[in-house]
Amino acid sequence: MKLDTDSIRKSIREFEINSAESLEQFRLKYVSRKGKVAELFSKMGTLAAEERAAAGKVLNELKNEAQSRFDQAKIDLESNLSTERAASDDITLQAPARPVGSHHPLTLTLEEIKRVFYRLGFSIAEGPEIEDDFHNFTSLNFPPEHPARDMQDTFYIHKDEHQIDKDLLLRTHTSPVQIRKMLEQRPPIRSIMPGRVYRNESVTYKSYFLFHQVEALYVDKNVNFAELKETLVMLAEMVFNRKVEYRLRPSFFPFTEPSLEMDIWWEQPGKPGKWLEILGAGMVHPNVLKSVDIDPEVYSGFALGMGVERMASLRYGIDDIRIFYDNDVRFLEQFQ
Amino acid sequence: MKVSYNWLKDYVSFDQSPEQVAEILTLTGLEVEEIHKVGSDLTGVVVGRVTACDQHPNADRLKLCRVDVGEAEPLQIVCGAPNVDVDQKVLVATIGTELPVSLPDGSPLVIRKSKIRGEVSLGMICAEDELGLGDDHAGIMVLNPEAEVGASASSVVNTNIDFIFEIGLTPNRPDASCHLGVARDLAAVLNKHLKKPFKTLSNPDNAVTDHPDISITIADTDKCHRYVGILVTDVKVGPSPDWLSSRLKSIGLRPINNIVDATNYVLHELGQPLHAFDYNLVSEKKIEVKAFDKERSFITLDEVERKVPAGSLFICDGTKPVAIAGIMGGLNSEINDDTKNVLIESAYFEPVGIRKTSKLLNLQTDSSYRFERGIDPNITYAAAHRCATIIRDIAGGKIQAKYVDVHPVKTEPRKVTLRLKRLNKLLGTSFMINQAVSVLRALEFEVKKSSSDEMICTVPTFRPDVTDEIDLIEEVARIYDYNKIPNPDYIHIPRPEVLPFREQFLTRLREVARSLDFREIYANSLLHENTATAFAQDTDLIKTLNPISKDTAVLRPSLIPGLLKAAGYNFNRGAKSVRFFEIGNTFKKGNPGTWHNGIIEETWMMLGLGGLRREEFWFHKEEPYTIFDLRSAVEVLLGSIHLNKNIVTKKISDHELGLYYENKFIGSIAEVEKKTRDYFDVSAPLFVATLCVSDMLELAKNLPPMVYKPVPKFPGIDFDLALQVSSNIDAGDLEQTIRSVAGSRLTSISTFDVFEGKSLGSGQKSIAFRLKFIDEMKTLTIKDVDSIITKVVRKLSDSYGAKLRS
Repeated sequence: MKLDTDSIRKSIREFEINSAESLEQFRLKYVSRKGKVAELFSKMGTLAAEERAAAGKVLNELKNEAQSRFDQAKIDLESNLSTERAASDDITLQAPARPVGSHHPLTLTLEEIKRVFYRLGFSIAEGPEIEDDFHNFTSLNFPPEHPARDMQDTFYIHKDEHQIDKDLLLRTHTSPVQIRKMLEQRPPIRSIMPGRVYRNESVTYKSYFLFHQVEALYVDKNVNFAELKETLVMLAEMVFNRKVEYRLRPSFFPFTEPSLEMDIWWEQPGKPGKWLEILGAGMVHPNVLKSVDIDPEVYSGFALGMGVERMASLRYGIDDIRIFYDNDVRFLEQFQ
Repeated sequence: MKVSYNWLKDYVSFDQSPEQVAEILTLTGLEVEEIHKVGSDLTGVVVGRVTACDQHPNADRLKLCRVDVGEAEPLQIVCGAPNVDVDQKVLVATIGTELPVSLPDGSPLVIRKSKIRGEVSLGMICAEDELGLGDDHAGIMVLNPEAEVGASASSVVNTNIDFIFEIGLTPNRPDASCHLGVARDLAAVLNKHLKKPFKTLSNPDNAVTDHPDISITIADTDKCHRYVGILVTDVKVGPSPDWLSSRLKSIGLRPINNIVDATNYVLHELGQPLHAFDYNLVSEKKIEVKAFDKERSFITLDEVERKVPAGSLFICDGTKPVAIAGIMGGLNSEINDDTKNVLIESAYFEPVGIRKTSKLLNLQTDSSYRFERGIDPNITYAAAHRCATIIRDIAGGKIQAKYVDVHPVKTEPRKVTLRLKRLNKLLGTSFMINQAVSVLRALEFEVKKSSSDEMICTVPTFRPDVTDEIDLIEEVARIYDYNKIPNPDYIHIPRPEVLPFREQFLTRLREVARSLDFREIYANSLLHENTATAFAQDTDLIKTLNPISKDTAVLRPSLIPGLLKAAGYNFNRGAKSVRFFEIGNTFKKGNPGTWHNGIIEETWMMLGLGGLRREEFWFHKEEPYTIFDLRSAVEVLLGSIHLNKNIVTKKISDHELGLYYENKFIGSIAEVEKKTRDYFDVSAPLFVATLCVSDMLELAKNLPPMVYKPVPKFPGIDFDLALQVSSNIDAGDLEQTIRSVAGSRLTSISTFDVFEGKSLGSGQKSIAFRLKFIDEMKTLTIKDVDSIITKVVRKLSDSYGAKLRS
């Protein structure tokens, strides 16, 4: 006797499965213990002994084929089942907003400047915002009658009757931190001094009575003007991330000599190019070194300083300094 | 300061364009901020002859002219000038000409073909002012009858185009506050000769102290070091000649009369402020320079009565003050149309005194501007004589040969040594000694080479800023041009310093706050006193002595007002929520002080949030922020700096929690009170945490370095503990007790349920904690934690009357 495996194999392959019902019918017909394949197994006993081994092999293949057809059809059916969906199942629905953190553009700009100086081997130093006259003026080679000491230019906290050095004021620049650093550490010194400074100025689009500066100080043997120049160019190119056209102009600060200001050539679409001042710098004045007991015949140094608001304004095209302190979310969220 | 391009050519010859000159000056340290073109070459303006001049048919005041400008047809031009007439030679601006005057909107006046009251007009017959040649607008300019028809305007009138440099003068360069001084730098760079408008600095043969016609004394020799007086007699006061008035106008000065204009001219030429008195109004032929110890009222020549403070220096005649020294003359002795004899004052006033008086009077003049920066004490006579010569040339008169020179304080030129090695070492250059010598000589330093490396330099007295060797080095460098300093072959490879812990810590805090979705703000550190007193005792506040306004009079004692202000600002502009942080310094009085005695300046961190945690959305309902949102953020923040394990939270009030590290207060988390919010116009709920960064920094610095802990190998077990307690018991106390009693196997507690209701009875509530236990050595079973739970429950029952609910 011969088992009719061929026709069953054909029907297993051709059985149409397109719903849960037809899948169940397939299962009952070919996979279940009462199905056709199982029925054939039960007929094995009727075969001649020498035929049984071959027939068993064929039947097992048939059984496996039915099972795998069933498994595959089941997976296919389930993945096609989600044709009916709820309104909230729509994945194109708008996602909810979430709070987002951000750093202030002044922080971002300062971080950029810090990164440049860190790469150049500079560290960082800080000092108080309330400063005494000695650190803010005297030690920086400001003569006693210098106009910056006027009440019109500087916020005072305390006027000392006997010693001008002991007047307390809101620092007008971060240079006093240079003095503190030099008093605390002998050369070599390579450090930057960022911080908040104050000037007695009225509030307009381009001036505010407080702003932020970052200065850099390098004191060592053999520090010279040419190195300052090289450093400035490096700095400008790293901060603005491009080759810059620059010029150095002689200028005046009591605490440096020679003193200079650096301009870079600035072009904006639709506007004529112009020189824009980005920083002031110079060789540390020998009198300043003397005031902190560093021998200017042995050591020399350079210092440079720039306004963080100014750099941030240049980077982001901001034309009103007041917006930095309004803390308007519609402004801040642009920097996330 | 304004400097004229043409004027500079009087002292140095050059071919450079205005732009090139500006660049040169800028690179020597005289920054040219702007270049203005003044005047016009009058292209398009031609000589015409009026061939007909009839009444305009439709306008009484207008004439209809025909003007021959040398073309085939005469032009029809409508003209409104009263003096236009047939046969006049006039200047005609033809169609397309751009005149050197501006329309009210700032754009230049361009002549176009137009119809005026129905008649075509093909140009404009010009008045003096329309050509930028003067102020006269009474009528059209009528030319000499010989002028050739069709010739360009520039062939018959002076077109004087000029370029004005606006120089931002740094305070160290008083020498450059005049044309000669600017020309000196220019000549030095161009290696050209500087032509000076005077021959000698002094004329000792004619200098007297006793003069028959004028007696001059200086009472206050500290404030006035020198006073020269020259008399010019029989002058005729009148308008200045064109060359003089146009020079003054080009740099923005208004011509007044030939005498005053001559003094102003010399001021801008040589930098020496001068004053001209009407000699006949100087009573008793006496000039005395002195100060009064009382405030005095004085009418200056701008006809303003000023209260001049005590101690200010005056020029007085025999009976009264006639000028505020160095600042402005008096109305009582000013040059007027009837002036016949002039006394020219040329003096050196000490800078600090002038600056004080000028500030106190709030009056800065061209004169005070120069005195307060320090003028040349040795040009006094030369300037006075230069002025007298100009007056003689333009106003007639006779210069009295004998002049008075009172000179109690003499300024000797300083000698400074410059070492070539030092110069090259500091600049990184390799100058030869002669290069340095020639630069310095061009700047009028006398230089003597004392060795192959050393120069002894005599500093001209117009350079008070040059006192040390380093100043000479700068002079050489700036004239050479900073941009030409060679690039160094190498710069030292730095050995970077370690970043201070503080910097790393602050950066970390900023980073964590941002990752917790807070936005950084920069708030004002100066507050209104009323604001500040809400956050600290009045006696602890630090105030500025000279605030701009009351709004910015006090240094912030806390960062909270900054949050409130920013929150109010944003809520008022439609924001629904805020989530801000700031790191900044706060200021309070206290001992021993941080940097300065009596002043505690500390760094704090503020985290604040308020308004809506979620706005209404299809996904969820509107939900306000609660203090728990802020507490979880602060916990993560403290965890990220590894301080969370040892920080204990204690209740300060029903709205404020204190954070303590081993009993030391390091900050707080609070709901902002309504009355405070109202003050800042914030109606939404607002929560704020402030943390003392200065303190946390010290704690964090002393923590042992972080070491990895193996992850648990065995599963833990959860135990739910539902407690019934009296309503007034704080959950935080229960939690603390559980933590302290449960021992080291307790790894976390989660408060998973809180409720109150009738089933519990009034005054009771239920709080349920899920405790997770883990043992590093074995898998825990319920039996293992039973004894712990028993201990915990007993303690809770004893301390808080807590009952276990089943």
